[in-house]
Amino acid sequence: MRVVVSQRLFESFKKIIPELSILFLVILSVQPQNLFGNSVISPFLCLSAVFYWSLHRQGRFYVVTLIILGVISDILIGASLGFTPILFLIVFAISSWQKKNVLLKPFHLIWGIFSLVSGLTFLVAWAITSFVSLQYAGVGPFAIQYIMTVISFPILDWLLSHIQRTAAV
Amino acid sequence: MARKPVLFSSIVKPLKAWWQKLFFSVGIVACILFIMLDRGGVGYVKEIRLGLTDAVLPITQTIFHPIKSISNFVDDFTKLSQAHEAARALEIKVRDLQAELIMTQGLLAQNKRLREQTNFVNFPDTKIITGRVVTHSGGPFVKSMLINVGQDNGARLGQAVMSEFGLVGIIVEVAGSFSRVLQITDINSQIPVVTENTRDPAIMAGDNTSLLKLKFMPSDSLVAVGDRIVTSGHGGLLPPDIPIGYIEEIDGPRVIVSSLVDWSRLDYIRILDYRFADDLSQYLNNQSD
Repeated sequence: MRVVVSQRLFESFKKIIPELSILFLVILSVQPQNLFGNSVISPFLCLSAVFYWSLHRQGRFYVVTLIILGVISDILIGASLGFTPILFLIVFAISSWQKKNVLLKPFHLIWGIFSLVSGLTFLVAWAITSFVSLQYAGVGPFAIQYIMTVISFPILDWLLSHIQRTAAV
Repeated sequence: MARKPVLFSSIVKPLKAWWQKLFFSVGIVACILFIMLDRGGVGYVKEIRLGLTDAVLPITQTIFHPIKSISNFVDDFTKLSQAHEAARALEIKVRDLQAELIMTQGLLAQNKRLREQTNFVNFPDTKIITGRVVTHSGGPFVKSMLINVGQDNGARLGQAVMSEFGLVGIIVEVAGSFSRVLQITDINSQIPVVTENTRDPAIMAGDNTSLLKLKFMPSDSLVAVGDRIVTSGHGGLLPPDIPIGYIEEIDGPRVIVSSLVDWSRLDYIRILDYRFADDLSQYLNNQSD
C-alpha cells in the first residue's frame, strides 16, 4: 500500500518536473550572488526552459501554469505584473504551433529557431519596457541578454534533456 | 448504409484545443491590462503585488537555503588559505586608519566649533537600519531588489538605501517583513544630485545598465572626469551629500557616471532613516486629504 502511494507521488512529481525546473531557474536568476554575479546581465534561462518544455514535454503545458510562473518571476524581479507571462506565452504559442515541424529537425536548426523566437520575445520585452517607463529604453542591455540567452541554450538543452531522460518526463 | 460512430475524443480534442486558445488570448489581454493598471499606480494592484510577494518570498528563501549554505561553506573553505595574507593586509589598513582617525577627530572638533560660531542649522540626525539583499534582478527589464527589512523594522517609503560605499536606491514598496528597493540604475530612477566640488546641480538617471547619466547639467558647469557626484538633498526625500559615483566620461552634453556600488557583491545594505522623509509623506497625505 505504502509502495503504491509513494509510486503515485513520484509519478505526480515527474509530471510537474517541467514547471519545477522553470521555477528553479526563475529563483536562481534573482539570487543576490548567483553564478552570473549580477554585475553583468545574466541569460534569461527560464525563457529557454519554456521553449524546451513546450517542444519536448509529453502532454500540454497549461497556459495558467505559465502565467503563474511568469507572475512569480515578475514579483521577484520587480517588473510590472503581467510582463514575464506575456514573454512566456509568446514563446509557448510559437513553439507549440510549430512543434510538429521543429521536433524532428537536427539540433542546430532547433537552436536557430530558438534564436528567432527569443529575438522576437526580446523585441516585445524592449517595447513593453519602453512603454512602461514612457521613454526609449537602451537596446544594449537587451541585446546582451539576448546573445547570452542564445549562447547558453545548448547547455540548458543538454541539461533539461538529461533530466527528461532520467525522469522519463 | 451504416453511420460511423462518433467518438467522444473527436469532440473533446478540438474543444480542448479551442479552450487552450481562448485561455491564451484571455491570458495575453489580462497581462496587458495588469501592466497598465500596475503602471497607473492603481491601489489594489499594488496590494495584490505586496500580498503575493509576502507569500512567495519565504518559499524561494526556503528552496535556496540549502544551496546557499553549501555555497557559503565552500566559499569560506577556499578563503581559509588566504586568511594569513588577509590578516596582514588588515593590520596595515588598521594602522593607516588609526592615523587618519586622529586627523579626522581634529577636523570634527574644528567643524563643531565653527558650526557653533556661525549658528549653523544642522540637518536632522539619520538613524541606520542594516539588512540583507534577498533577491536581486539581473536582467535588463528592471533594476530592483528585495531586502529583508520591512515596516516592522522601521523601513518606510522613500528612504535611501546604501551599500558601504554609496547610494544603492530608494525604497518604493514596503510590506511587514520586506521592502523593494528601486536601484539608482533603473530606467525609472531620477535623483537630484550635485557635483561635490563645483556644486553644479543635475538629475541623475539610470538606463538599466550599470552606468548612470547626468541630465539637465548647467551649460556653464566646470565638471571634469573623476569628479564625485553626491545627492543634493533637494526635495527633502534624500539626505544631502550621500556619495553616488564618479564622472567617468564627458562627451559634449552627455555625462556618464560610474556608481560606487559593487553590484556583483551587494549583500548587506544600510537604510537611512531620515526624518525629512516622514515629514514629506505626512505633508503629501495632508495634501491628498
